[in-house]
Amino acid sequence: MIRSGVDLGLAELRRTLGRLWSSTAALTVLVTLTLTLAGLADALERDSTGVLRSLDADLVVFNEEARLQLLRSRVPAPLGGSLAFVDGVQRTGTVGLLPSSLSSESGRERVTVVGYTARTPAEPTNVVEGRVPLDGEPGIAAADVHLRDRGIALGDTVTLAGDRDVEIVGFVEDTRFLQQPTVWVPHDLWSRVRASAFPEAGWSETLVGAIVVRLSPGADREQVAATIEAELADLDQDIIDRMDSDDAVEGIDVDVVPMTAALDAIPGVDVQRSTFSVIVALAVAVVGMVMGLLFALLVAERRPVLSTLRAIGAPPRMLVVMLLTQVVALWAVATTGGTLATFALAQVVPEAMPLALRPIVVATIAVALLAASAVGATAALRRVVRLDPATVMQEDTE
Amino acid sequence: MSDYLDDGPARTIVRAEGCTKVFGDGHASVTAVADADLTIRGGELLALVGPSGSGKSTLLSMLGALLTPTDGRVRIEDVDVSTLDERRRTELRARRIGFVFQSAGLVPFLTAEENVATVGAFAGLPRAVARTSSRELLEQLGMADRADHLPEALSGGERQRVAIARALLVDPPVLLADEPTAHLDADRGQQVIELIASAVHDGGRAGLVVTHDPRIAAHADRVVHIADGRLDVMVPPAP
Repeated sequence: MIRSGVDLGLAELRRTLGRLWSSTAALTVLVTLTLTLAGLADALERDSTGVLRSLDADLVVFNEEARLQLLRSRVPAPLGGSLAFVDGVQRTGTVGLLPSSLSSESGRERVTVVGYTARTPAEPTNVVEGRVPLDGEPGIAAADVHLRDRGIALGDTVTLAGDRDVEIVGFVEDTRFLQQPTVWVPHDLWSRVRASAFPEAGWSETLVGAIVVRLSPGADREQVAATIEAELADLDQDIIDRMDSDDAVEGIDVDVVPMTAALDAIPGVDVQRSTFSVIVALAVAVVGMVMGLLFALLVAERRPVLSTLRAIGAPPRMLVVMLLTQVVALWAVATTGGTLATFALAQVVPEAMPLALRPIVVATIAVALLAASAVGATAALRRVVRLDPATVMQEDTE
Repeated sequence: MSDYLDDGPARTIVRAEGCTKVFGDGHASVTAVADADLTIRGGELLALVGPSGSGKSTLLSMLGALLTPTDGRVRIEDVDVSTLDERRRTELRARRIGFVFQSAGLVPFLTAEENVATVGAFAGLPRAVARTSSRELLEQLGMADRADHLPEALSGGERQRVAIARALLVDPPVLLADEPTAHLDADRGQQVIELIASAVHDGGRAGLVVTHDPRIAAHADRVVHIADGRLDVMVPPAP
């Protein structure tokens, strides 16, 4: 029984399925393309930024010369302790990153070795199996689950660069850095691996990469960052005097930035994100245009019927709802089909192509596609609203 | 006041006074209907005849609240249609005017019963009433066994019968038909004419049929000629 525009719209779709099949198939292909691009962009970004996102921290302190680059940043470890007394700071920790390699029975992998202070904001939060090493625990490490997928198991002994054997005691998830899996070790081991990799730099247990800061609830991020920069400027000579290192410290003028800025500063992330955003936006716009064209044609084709409905008393609102119902129905079918196709595609693409679909990505793209479809169909909707019911006579006579 | 404003003993349902419709502006303007006066009483069927382009459909559109007169006024019962905005004219069409078009104008993706019952939704009829009434009407018009068919599965005559049922669903006081037999053969055309005449005469409705078909004129109470937009000659009903 037809009672509303929704009923009318669904009745037409139900009884003219064959006519819309090719349009729906074309839209599904476009949605698949859009979701594939969005999934790829998301996975690439996450595989670049996992190491920082896995920390429960709000601010990152780099030495100024490093220009927010984790691999270049070097700060004296004692700085972390000194920051604990700054107003608004709840806890601090230190991390250091080192591009390296790992050998195991499964073969050789390029990895990023991460040195960190345990039980601080520098400790990775997403442990999925086993545990992470505590400070000073010798010869053990936690690894990214990607390495588990490559055949490394809990309890296996792997060799880091410089012939450092470590036992894997846990796995952490979503902690990759610049597409490479990470291996998490205490700072002293990280320093030794670093000294092996860069013998010219010497060994220094007190030099780490960056300090991560967790703020107290309610603390003002910008204010705390400014305070830290000012405090460290005053502590400059004192800290240098306490360093037990032959390394040439470049100075401890620091940049204190929010975690989001630190993520954006990871090489390639910003460019990659904006490039993919433009491509995904174009794909979404194409879906909107196709939807608009489809409904413009449908309205032109259905004009006699729509005029008749207007003539016999159908309010324009009901016809608009009828059309919107069809837009939403086509969007729903194409988005569902496209999502399933993209999930299937993600299962078969080569491992080197980091295609993954998170629900939030699917939801965001689905909403964007719905909005684009509605905007695309606006011209058709406007035609329906402006339809002159008197044309039913002309069309009837033609 | 012309002869066409004929207030007889029955209630006047449709009244057009000085109705004029001009399309376009300035030198390009065309007067489709000029100064037309017309009344149709309850239970009266009027046939409007005239050559192509004479203004028949334009006059029907103004009487059916599809077009607003450029000058003059149209009243349906107690409502001055000429002063209504688009929303109220739509409501008026849904509740007080039944239309039968030349090519039936059924919605191709709705069954015969749905085509009829849908008008109930426009007019705000309760769902159950619309369903019962549409079934009853289809049965009265001999279409009960075709109620679940889509228009494409119906013959031309069957489609027009469904269109008549649709026009009568809300029991409107006015029934307007535009060349309802144009696409039908003689037998089916005759059936449709009789159904329309019966709906008007038995239902006490005001009926106007635009036609070239002399058989309709034979069923009409009055025949009004229109030429060059002017109501011209009133022909007495056929014996």
